[in-house]
Amino acid sequence: MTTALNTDAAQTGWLKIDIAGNATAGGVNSLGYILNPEGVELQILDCYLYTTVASAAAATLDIGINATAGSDDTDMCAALAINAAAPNVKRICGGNVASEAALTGGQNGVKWGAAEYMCFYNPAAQISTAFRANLFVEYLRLA
Amino acid sequence: MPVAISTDAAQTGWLKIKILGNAVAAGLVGQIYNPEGVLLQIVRGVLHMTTASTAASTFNIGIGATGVDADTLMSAFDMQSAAGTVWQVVGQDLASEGAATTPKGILWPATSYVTVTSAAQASTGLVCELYLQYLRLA
Repeated sequence: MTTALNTDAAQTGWLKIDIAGNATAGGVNSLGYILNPEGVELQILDCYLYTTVASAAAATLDIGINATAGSDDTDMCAALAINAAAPNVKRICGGNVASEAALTGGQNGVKWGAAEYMCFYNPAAQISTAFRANLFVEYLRLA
Repeated sequence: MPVAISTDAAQTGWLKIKILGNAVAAGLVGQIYNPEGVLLQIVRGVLHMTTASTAASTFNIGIGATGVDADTLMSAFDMQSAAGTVWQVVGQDLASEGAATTPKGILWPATSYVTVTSAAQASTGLVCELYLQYLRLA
């Protein structure tokens, strides 16, 4: 598993996920998945990807919520290049949403069902060896 | 009480207010007194629709004196919005150095209320939750 919940010091309300690339031939493959850690429906409000080591090859990253572990889902992030010079920080979703707008669509936040997975996937033909990142996720418990 | 602070599990810093519809066609549905007793700045807000209103009710939600119809958080918002939908309450479309005033933030004075007011239709059947995150300005 190349994706795991991080056990570093507390993040004052932010879920921290470790992501690592892999060398699976062909590149196109799951980088791992995280089961909803609260067991209740969550609304993801904000999300940042902190890349500490860039991928050696031109791999990309999909991130999304799906009922099936290991799925290729893009409702949070679609084909983001992960070989840009590190360190770098990118906002994945949340933020620029006006009052009374729906919090749907990757950029605006996404729901994370109680039994669903956050899935990380490299959809590119290039392998993602060397890639290391942390995804910081802020959410609201809808329960 | 159709508007009350929720006693569900902890929300890591979010105030959770449960709103239940009622048969009031026009007027105050309920209100919450400032729970901290000091000046607050509401910095974020989210509304989650659990069950839509049976009739086409609209709500104003805002900060004001007791019983006042205020719309500084939400104005004539459709309470028949689909169950399960989630809505932004405090706009986050605010640039650095921008004023954090309605609808992108609002002060909640120590002795004021969040008031919930129905416009014209009864809101029977409605169940929703208003989540507010604030800073204590004290």
